[in-house]
Amino acid sequence: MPIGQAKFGLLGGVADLGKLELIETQTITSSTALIDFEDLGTGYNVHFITVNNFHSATDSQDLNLRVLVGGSVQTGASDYGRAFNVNYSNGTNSQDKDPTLDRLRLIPEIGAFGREHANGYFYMYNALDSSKYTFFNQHSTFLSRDPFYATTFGAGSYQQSNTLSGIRFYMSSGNINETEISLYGIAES
Amino acid sequence: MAGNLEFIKSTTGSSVTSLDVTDCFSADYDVYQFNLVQFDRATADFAGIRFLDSGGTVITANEYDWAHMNMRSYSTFAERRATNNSYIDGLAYSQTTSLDTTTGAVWNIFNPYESSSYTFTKGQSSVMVDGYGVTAFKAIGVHKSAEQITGFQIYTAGTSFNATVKVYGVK
Repeated sequence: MPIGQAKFGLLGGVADLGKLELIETQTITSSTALIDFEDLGTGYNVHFITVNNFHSATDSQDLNLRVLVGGSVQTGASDYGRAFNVNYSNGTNSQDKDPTLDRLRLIPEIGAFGREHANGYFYMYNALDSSKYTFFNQHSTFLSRDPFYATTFGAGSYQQSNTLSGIRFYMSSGNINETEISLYGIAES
Repeated sequence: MAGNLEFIKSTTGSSVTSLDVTDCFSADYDVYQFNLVQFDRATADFAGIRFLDSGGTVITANEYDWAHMNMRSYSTFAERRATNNSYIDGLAYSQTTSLDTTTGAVWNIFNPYESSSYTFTKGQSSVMVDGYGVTAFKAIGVHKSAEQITGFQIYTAGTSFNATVKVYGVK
Protein backbone atom coordinates (compact mmCIF):
# COMPACT_ATOMS: atom_id res chain seq x y z
CA MET A 1 0.00 0.00 0.00
CA PRO A 2 1.40 3.44 -0.87
CA ILE A 3 2.34 5.50 2.15
CA GLY A 4 -0.17 8.17 1.18
CA GLN A 5 -2.97 5.62 1.40
CA ALA A 6 -1.62 4.29 4.66
CA LYS A 7 -1.63 7.80 6.12
CA PHE A 8 -5.20 8.20 4.95
CA GLY A 9 -6.14 5.17 6.98
CA LEU A 10 -4.10 6.12 10.01
CA LEU A 11 -5.64 9.55 10.15
CA GLY A 12 -9.12 8.09 10.20
CA GLY A 13 -10.15 9.31 6.77
CA VAL A 14 -8.31 12.63 6.81
CA ALA A 15 -5.98 12.61 3.82
CA ASP A 16 -2.51 14.18 3.99
CA LEU A 17 -3.55 17.25 2.03
CA GLY A 18 -2.24 20.67 1.20
CA LYS A 19 1.51 20.39 0.81
CA LEU A 20 1.78 23.57 -1.27
CA GLU A 21 1.78 26.03 1.60
CA LEU A 22 1.43 29.77 1.00
CA ILE A 23 4.05 31.71 2.97
CA GLU A 24 3.34 35.22 1.69
CA THR A 25 1.80 37.16 -1.17
CA GLN A 26 2.93 40.69 -1.98
CA THR A 27 0.73 42.87 -4.15
CA ILE A 28 2.28 45.94 -5.77
CA THR A 29 -0.04 48.63 -7.09
CA SER A 30 2.29 51.64 -7.24
CA SER A 31 5.89 52.29 -8.24
CA THR A 32 8.17 50.19 -6.03
CA ALA A 33 11.93 49.62 -6.19
CA LEU A 34 12.32 46.45 -4.13
CA ILE A 35 10.11 43.51 -3.23
CA ASP A 36 11.61 41.63 -0.31
CA PHE A 37 10.39 38.34 1.09
CA GLU A 38 12.01 38.16 4.52
CA ASP A 39 10.34 34.98 5.72
CA LEU A 40 11.01 31.75 3.83
CA GLY A 41 9.26 29.56 6.38
CA THR A 42 10.86 26.54 7.99
CA GLY A 43 11.52 22.99 6.90
CA TYR A 44 11.19 23.43 3.15
CA ASN A 45 13.68 22.01 0.66
CA VAL A 46 11.69 23.32 -2.29
CA HIS A 47 9.93 26.67 -2.65
CA PHE A 48 7.54 27.64 -5.44
CA ILE A 49 7.14 31.26 -6.54
CA THR A 50 4.54 32.76 -8.86
CA VAL A 51 4.87 36.16 -10.51
CA ASN A 52 1.59 37.44 -11.87
CA ASN A 53 0.73 40.45 -14.04
CA PHE A 54 4.18 41.98 -13.67
CA HIS A 55 4.58 45.49 -15.12
CA SER A 56 7.89 47.32 -15.25
CA ALA A 57 7.98 51.10 -14.95
CA THR A 58 10.80 51.34 -17.51
CA ASP A 59 11.04 49.69 -20.92
CA SER A 60 13.58 46.99 -21.72
CA GLN A 61 14.58 46.22 -18.14
CA ASP A 62 15.25 42.86 -16.48
CA LEU A 63 13.50 41.42 -13.48
CA ASN A 64 16.36 40.38 -11.20
CA LEU A 65 16.67 38.45 -7.97
CA ARG A 66 19.18 38.50 -5.16
CA VAL A 67 19.15 36.50 -1.96
CA LEU A 68 19.35 37.68 1.62
CA VAL A 69 21.56 36.02 4.24
CA GLY A 70 21.07 37.14 7.82
CA GLY A 71 18.99 39.98 6.43
CA SER A 72 21.79 41.27 4.19
CA VAL A 73 21.50 41.25 0.42
CA GLN A 74 24.23 39.19 -1.26
CA THR A 75 26.07 41.05 -4.03
CA GLY A 76 29.38 39.21 -4.51
CA ALA A 77 30.74 39.34 -8.06
CA SER A 78 30.54 35.56 -8.51
CA ASP A 79 27.75 34.71 -6.08
CA TYR A 80 25.32 33.76 -8.85
CA GLY A 81 25.13 31.92 -12.16
CA ARG A 82 22.41 31.68 -14.80
CA ALA A 83 21.57 29.72 -17.94
CA PHE A 84 18.25 30.09 -19.68
CA ASN A 85 16.78 30.04 -23.14
CA VAL A 86 14.67 32.90 -24.51
CA ASN A 87 12.27 32.09 -27.34
CA TYR A 88 10.60 34.95 -29.22
CA SER A 89 7.46 34.75 -31.30
CA ASN A 90 9.27 36.20 -34.31
CA GLY A 91 11.22 32.96 -34.53
CA THR A 92 14.45 34.00 -32.89
CA ASN A 93 15.87 32.64 -29.68
CA SER A 94 18.85 33.40 -27.53
CA GLN A 95 21.02 31.68 -24.96
CA ASP A 96 21.32 33.86 -21.89
CA LYS A 97 24.17 32.51 -19.78
CA ASP A 98 26.97 33.47 -17.41
CA PRO A 99 28.51 31.33 -14.64
CA THR A 100 29.68 34.23 -12.45
CA LEU A 101 27.35 37.10 -11.68
CA ASP A 102 26.37 39.42 -8.87
CA ARG A 103 22.64 38.81 -9.43
CA LEU A 104 20.15 36.49 -11.06
CA ARG A 105 18.29 37.63 -14.14
CA LEU A 106 14.85 36.07 -14.12
CA ILE A 107 13.07 37.73 -17.05
CA PRO A 108 15.03 39.81 -19.60
CA GLU A 109 14.18 43.06 -21.38
CA ILE A 110 10.53 43.27 -20.43
CA GLY A 111 8.39 45.80 -22.26
CA ALA A 112 6.76 48.58 -20.28
CA PHE A 113 4.14 50.05 -22.58
CA GLY A 114 0.41 49.43 -22.33
CA ARG A 115 -0.24 45.77 -21.64
CA GLU A 116 3.38 44.64 -21.97
CA HIS A 117 3.39 42.49 -18.86
CA ALA A 118 5.19 39.37 -17.66
CA ASN A 119 4.12 36.24 -15.83
CA GLY A 120 6.14 33.33 -14.55
CA TYR A 121 6.87 30.72 -11.95
CA PHE A 122 10.06 29.61 -10.29
CA TYR A 123 11.30 26.75 -8.16
CA MET A 124 13.94 27.41 -5.51
CA TYR A 125 15.87 24.48 -4.03
CA ASN A 126 17.81 24.14 -0.76
CA ALA A 127 17.38 27.77 0.32
CA LEU A 128 17.18 26.77 3.97
CA ASP A 129 20.09 24.30 3.92
CA SER A 130 23.37 25.78 5.15
CA SER A 131 25.39 22.98 3.53
CA LYS A 132 24.13 23.45 -0.03
CA TYR A 133 24.06 26.00 -2.80
CA THR A 134 20.62 27.38 -3.64
CA PHE A 135 19.33 26.50 -7.10
CA PHE A 136 16.49 27.90 -9.18
CA ASN A 137 14.44 26.83 -12.18
CA GLN A 138 12.58 29.55 -14.03
CA HIS A 139 9.75 29.74 -16.52
CA SER A 140 8.18 32.92 -17.81
CA THR A 141 5.98 34.30 -20.53
CA PHE A 142 6.07 38.00 -21.38
CA LEU A 143 5.94 40.75 -23.98
CA SER A 144 9.42 42.02 -24.70
CA ARG A 145 10.62 45.53 -25.50
CA ASP A 146 10.29 44.90 -29.27
CA PRO A 147 7.45 44.02 -28.51
CA PHE A 148 7.53 40.30 -29.28
CA TYR A 149 5.77 37.68 -27.27
CA ALA A 150 8.43 35.53 -25.59
CA THR A 151 9.12 32.78 -23.11
CA THR A 152 12.08 31.80 -20.97
CA PHE A 153 13.08 28.57 -19.27
CA GLY A 154 16.28 27.63 -17.51
CA ALA A 155 18.12 27.74 -14.23
CA GLY A 156 20.09 29.85 -11.82
CA SER A 157 22.21 29.38 -8.75
CA TYR A 158 23.32 31.18 -5.64
CA GLN A 159 26.77 29.67 -5.36
CA GLN A 160 27.43 29.93 -1.66
CA SER A 161 26.54 27.40 1.03
CA ASN A 162 24.33 29.54 3.23
CA THR A 163 20.91 29.48 4.80
CA LEU A 164 18.87 32.19 3.13
CA SER A 165 16.80 34.56 5.21
CA GLY A 166 14.99 36.02 2.24
CA ILE A 167 14.88 36.90 -1.44
CA ARG A 168 14.66 40.25 -3.22
CA PHE A 169 13.04 41.09 -6.57
CA TYR A 170 14.11 44.28 -8.32
CA MET A 171 14.63 45.79 -11.76
CA SER A 172 17.93 46.29 -13.57
CA SER A 173 16.87 49.93 -13.77
CA GLY A 174 13.73 51.70 -12.66
CA ASN A 175 10.84 50.45 -10.59
CA ILE A 176 8.08 47.87 -10.56
CA ASN A 177 4.68 49.41 -11.24
CA GLU A 178 2.43 46.44 -10.66
CA THR A 179 2.55 42.74 -9.81
CA GLU A 180 1.48 40.05 -7.41
CA ILE A 181 4.20 37.69 -6.24
CA SER A 182 3.42 34.66 -4.10
CA LEU A 183 5.91 32.51 -2.23
CA TYR A 184 5.00 28.93 -1.33
CA GLY A 185 6.82 26.21 0.54
CA ILE A 186 6.38 22.60 -0.53
CA ALA A 187 5.96 20.70 2.73
CA GLU A 188 7.65 17.34 3.20
CA SER A 189 10.03 18.36 0.44
CA MET B 1 -11.71 20.50 0.14
CA ALA B 2 -9.34 18.89 -2.29
CA GLY B 3 -5.69 19.59 -1.60
CA ASN B 4 -3.10 20.88 -4.00
CA LEU B 5 0.02 18.77 -3.63
CA GLU B 6 -0.65 15.70 -1.51
CA PHE B 7 2.41 14.00 -0.09
CA ILE B 8 2.72 10.33 -1.01
CA LYS B 9 6.20 9.16 -0.03
CA SER B 10 9.87 9.91 0.37
CA THR B 11 12.67 7.61 -0.75
CA THR B 12 16.37 8.01 -0.02
CA GLY B 13 19.28 6.01 -1.37
CA SER B 14 22.87 6.12 -0.17
CA SER B 15 25.68 4.70 -2.32
CA VAL B 16 23.18 2.95 -4.60
CA THR B 17 23.47 2.29 -8.32
CA SER B 18 19.72 2.68 -8.84
CA LEU B 19 16.88 3.87 -6.62
CA ASP B 20 13.40 2.37 -6.90
CA VAL B 21 10.49 4.53 -5.78
CA THR B 22 7.87 1.82 -5.39
CA ASP B 23 4.07 1.91 -5.11
CA CYS B 24 3.78 5.65 -5.43
CA PHE B 25 1.20 5.69 -8.24
CA SER B 26 -2.42 4.70 -7.75
CA ALA B 27 -5.92 5.35 -9.02
CA ASP B 28 -6.11 8.34 -6.66
CA TYR B 29 -4.29 10.74 -9.01
CA ASP B 30 -3.76 11.32 -12.74
CA VAL B 31 -0.83 13.71 -12.32
CA TYR B 32 2.15 13.40 -10.00
CA GLN B 33 5.06 15.59 -9.03
CA PHE B 34 8.34 14.42 -7.69
CA ASN B 35 11.08 16.59 -6.24
CA LEU B 36 14.68 15.46 -6.41
CA VAL B 37 16.21 17.38 -3.53
CA GLN B 38 19.56 15.67 -3.53
CA PHE B 39 21.59 13.88 -6.17
CA ASP B 40 25.34 13.51 -5.97
CA ARG B 41 27.85 11.02 -7.24
CA ALA B 42 31.60 10.74 -7.61
CA THR B 43 31.64 9.89 -11.32
CA ALA B 44 30.43 12.36 -13.91
CA ASP B 45 27.26 11.23 -15.65
CA PHE B 46 23.62 12.00 -16.28
CA ALA B 47 20.79 10.44 -14.31
CA GLY B 48 17.49 9.39 -15.82
CA ILE B 49 14.33 7.53 -14.94
CA ARG B 50 12.68 4.21 -15.75
CA PHE B 51 9.23 3.04 -14.74
CA LEU B 52 8.10 0.08 -12.64
CA ASP B 53 5.30 -2.12 -13.99
CA SER B 54 2.23 -3.40 -12.11
CA GLY B 55 4.34 -6.07 -10.47
CA GLY B 56 6.99 -3.57 -9.34
CA THR B 57 9.53 -4.77 -11.90
CA VAL B 58 11.65 -2.13 -13.59
CA ILE B 59 10.91 -1.79 -17.31
CA THR B 60 14.22 -2.00 -19.16
CA ALA B 61 12.85 -2.56 -22.66
CA ASN B 62 13.57 -0.01 -25.40
CA GLU B 63 10.19 1.65 -24.93
CA TYR B 64 11.19 5.20 -24.00
CA ASP B 65 11.55 8.37 -26.09
CA TRP B 66 13.08 11.48 -24.57
CA ALA B 67 14.53 14.88 -25.39
CA HIS B 68 16.08 17.61 -23.37
CA MET B 69 17.87 20.90 -23.68
CA ASN B 70 21.03 21.22 -21.62
CA MET B 71 21.50 24.92 -20.85
CA ARG B 72 25.01 25.54 -19.60
CA SER B 73 26.04 28.82 -18.04
CA TYR B 74 29.61 28.22 -19.19
CA SER B 75 29.12 26.94 -22.75
CA THR B 76 26.81 26.71 -25.74
CA PHE B 77 23.50 25.01 -25.03
CA ALA B 78 23.08 21.43 -26.24
CA GLU B 79 20.07 19.40 -27.39
CA ARG B 80 20.02 15.68 -26.69
CA ARG B 81 17.39 13.15 -27.65
CA ALA B 82 16.70 9.47 -28.26
CA THR B 83 13.91 7.20 -29.43
CA ASN B 84 13.30 3.57 -28.47
CA ASN B 85 15.69 3.92 -25.57
CA SER B 86 15.89 1.89 -22.36
CA TYR B 87 15.44 4.93 -20.09
CA ILE B 88 14.49 8.63 -20.06
CA ASP B 89 17.50 10.89 -19.70
CA GLY B 90 17.90 14.45 -18.42
CA LEU B 91 16.87 14.21 -14.79
CA ALA B 92 20.15 15.25 -13.22
CA TYR B 93 23.90 15.34 -13.49
CA SER B 94 26.68 15.24 -10.96
CA GLN B 95 30.40 14.70 -10.84
CA THR B 96 31.02 15.24 -7.17
CA THR B 97 29.74 14.05 -3.83
CA SER B 98 30.10 17.56 -2.44
CA LEU B 99 26.78 18.43 -0.84
CA ASP B 100 26.91 22.06 -1.87
CA THR B 101 26.61 21.24 -5.57
CA THR B 102 23.70 18.84 -5.29
CA THR B 103 20.85 18.94 -7.78
CA GLY B 104 17.38 20.45 -7.49
CA ALA B 105 14.64 19.14 -9.76
CA VAL B 106 10.85 19.06 -10.11
CA TRP B 107 9.25 16.64 -12.57
CA ASN B 108 5.66 15.71 -13.40
CA ILE B 109 4.36 12.32 -14.47
CA PHE B 110 1.05 11.97 -16.30
CA ASN B 111 -1.37 9.01 -16.29
CA PRO B 112 1.03 6.36 -14.98
CA TYR B 113 -1.63 4.18 -13.39
CA GLU B 114 -4.00 4.22 -16.38
CA SER B 115 -3.41 0.89 -18.12
CA SER B 116 -4.75 2.09 -21.47
CA SER B 117 -2.43 5.10 -21.72
CA TYR B 118 1.20 5.76 -22.34
CA THR B 119 2.98 7.44 -19.41
CA PHE B 120 4.30 10.92 -20.13
CA THR B 121 6.71 13.02 -18.13
CA LYS B 122 8.27 16.46 -18.21
CA GLY B 123 10.63 18.20 -15.88
CA GLN B 124 13.25 20.77 -15.10
CA SER B 125 16.44 20.51 -13.14
CA SER B 126 19.10 22.90 -11.90
CA VAL B 127 22.53 21.42 -11.25
CA MET B 128 26.05 22.60 -10.61
CA VAL B 129 28.83 21.24 -12.78
CA ASP B 130 31.70 21.46 -10.36
CA GLY B 131 34.38 23.85 -11.56
CA TYR B 132 32.26 25.21 -14.44
CA GLY B 133 28.90 26.57 -13.37
CA VAL B 134 25.17 26.09 -13.14
CA THR B 135 23.36 24.04 -15.78
CA ALA B 136 19.65 23.64 -16.49
CA PHE B 137 17.81 20.70 -17.99
CA LYS B 138 14.40 21.09 -19.56
CA ALA B 139 13.23 17.61 -20.44
CA ILE B 140 10.37 15.52 -21.78
CA GLY B 141 9.90 11.77 -21.98
CA VAL B 142 7.34 9.08 -22.71
CA HIS B 143 7.02 5.37 -22.02
CA LYS B 144 5.45 4.00 -25.19
CA SER B 145 3.61 1.01 -23.82
CA ALA B 146 0.03 1.17 -22.61
CA GLU B 147 0.29 -0.50 -19.22
CA GLN B 148 -0.16 0.21 -15.54
CA ILE B 149 2.87 1.89 -13.92
CA THR B 150 3.22 1.74 -10.15
CA GLY B 151 6.53 3.48 -9.54
CA PHE B 152 9.76 4.68 -11.05
CA GLN B 153 13.48 4.24 -10.75
CA ILE B 154 16.29 6.80 -10.63
CA TYR B 155 18.65 5.27 -13.14
CA THR B 156 22.31 5.85 -13.92
CA ALA B 157 24.90 4.01 -15.95
CA GLY B 158 26.02 2.05 -12.93
CA THR B 159 28.22 4.00 -10.58
CA SER B 160 26.89 4.68 -7.11
CA PHE B 161 25.06 7.82 -6.08
CA ASN B 162 23.15 9.40 -3.20
CA ALA B 163 19.65 10.70 -3.78
CA THR B 164 16.45 11.77 -2.05
CA VAL B 165 13.11 11.83 -3.87
CA LYS B 166 9.76 13.17 -2.60
CA VAL B 167 6.57 12.19 -4.45
CA TYR B 168 3.26 14.07 -4.45
CA GLY B 169 -0.12 13.61 -6.05
CA VAL B 170 -1.57 16.67 -7.79
CA LYS B 171 -5.22 17.37 -7.03
